[in-house]
Amino acid sequence: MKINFYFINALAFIFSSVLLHAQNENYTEITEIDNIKSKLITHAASTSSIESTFIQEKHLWMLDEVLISKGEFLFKKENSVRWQYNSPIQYTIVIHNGLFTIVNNNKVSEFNIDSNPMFREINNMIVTAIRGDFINNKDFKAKFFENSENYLAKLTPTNAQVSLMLETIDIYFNKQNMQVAKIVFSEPGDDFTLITFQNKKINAELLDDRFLVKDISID
Amino acid sequence: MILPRRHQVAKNHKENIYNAFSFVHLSAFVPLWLIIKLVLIGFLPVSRWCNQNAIIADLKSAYNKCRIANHKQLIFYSKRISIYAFSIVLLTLASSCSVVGYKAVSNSNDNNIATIQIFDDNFEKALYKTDINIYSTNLTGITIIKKKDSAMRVVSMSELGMKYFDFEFHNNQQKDPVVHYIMASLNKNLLVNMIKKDFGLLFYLPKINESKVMVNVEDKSKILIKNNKLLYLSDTMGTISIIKKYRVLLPNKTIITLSKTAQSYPDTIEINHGKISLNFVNLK
Repeated sequence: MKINFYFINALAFIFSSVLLHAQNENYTEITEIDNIKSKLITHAASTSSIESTFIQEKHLWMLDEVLISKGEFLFKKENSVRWQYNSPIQYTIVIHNGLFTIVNNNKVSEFNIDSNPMFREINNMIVTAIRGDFINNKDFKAKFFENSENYLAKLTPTNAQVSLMLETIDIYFNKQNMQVAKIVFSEPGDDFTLITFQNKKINAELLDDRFLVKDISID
Repeated sequence: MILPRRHQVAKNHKENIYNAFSFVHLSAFVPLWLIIKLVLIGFLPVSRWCNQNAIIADLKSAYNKCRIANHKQLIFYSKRISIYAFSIVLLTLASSCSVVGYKAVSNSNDNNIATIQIFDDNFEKALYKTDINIYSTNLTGITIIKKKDSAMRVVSMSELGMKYFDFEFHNNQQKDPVVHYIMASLNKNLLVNMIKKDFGLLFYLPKINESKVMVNVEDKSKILIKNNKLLYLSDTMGTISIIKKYRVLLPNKTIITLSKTAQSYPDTIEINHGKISLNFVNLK
């Protein structure tokens, strides 16, 4: 149970990590994916760091309710990641120097990535995704769409257990700069989570200190 | 000699009582029956002492019968008497359900409270930081409780938006709570029933006129007792702070602890079943 929980949360977080914009209209499917694949890889290769804020909207259709969370996202090559919620709650996930750390309610949980097969797998997925190589990821079937402004990568989980929780993951890339603008996690039953990235700084200098847990402000 | 004789007397009266109550199967008569039985067993030998002739007359035949009486049977009846006595104590305690420091008041008493509440009539929705422990697994996130279409809806999810569960509790208590969604790994009968039952306690409060009401002699806080099973501790205004389960011969077990300020819903909700616990802290 614990493994599945972390796995699913990690998926949300991995695809949020992939990089950064778009509109959801008049998309047509792309059958020739080599071009977009090479664009993704080229963009990934030229990205050494990302600093961004994000807004997460959880749409609960039956409740007519949208729960909004806000936070910060940091990425630095090769695979240092920080995903931090600042409101309405404080919750942080950090991957750095072989450690997977969760800070929640002043409680710090650390997992050694190398000694734990699950976290090793999560780490591999993050590295793959950040390299723009999620097209070949065996855990998802990928289909690509485009309109005048964006590319849309629609990922469907191949794992039956994951598909019970996630129907699709839609990643929207801006055509001009290949940055991820937003990600939509759709669940069975019309609920979905939308993450939009704002205030993006690409390849700005990011010190390793930003990935240390002691530097994470805890209220 | 005395012991076998007492046994003989006891056995005779046991048979009489069996005959008298052989057609009665209602459990309500059991305590009465046990009391009568114990009294008779205790007093008959004494009364027999008043009639010396009867004792002497009985002695010979009783001696012969008792001589061959099975000693094991005697032990059996002794044990039985102990069990009867214990049962009476239990039944007495179970039916009383008293709480130290509180005195019972009638429902029409002026001390009584007009209403009790957890989520009051003005409640619309509340957002809670959530911490769920299921044995060694810790799940954290956000829970929304919202009143919608004559029902209360409880949706819990992780910080990243992955739903854990989604339950609906209709205002009509007769309708079973609806499980709209529960994560596969949490979909265990024990847990599902626990969530239904515990949130049911929060949403379906006992009716005052159908409950036993007790008042604290010092601070005038109240306890409502539902079906001799559940204790609802409230302040003088009727806001529930603790829900306990009544336990015979053991301290009452706290299931739910609530704290509330001026708003229409609790600030914190703590549901505790030992190895399974659910904690909710209101997000302002």
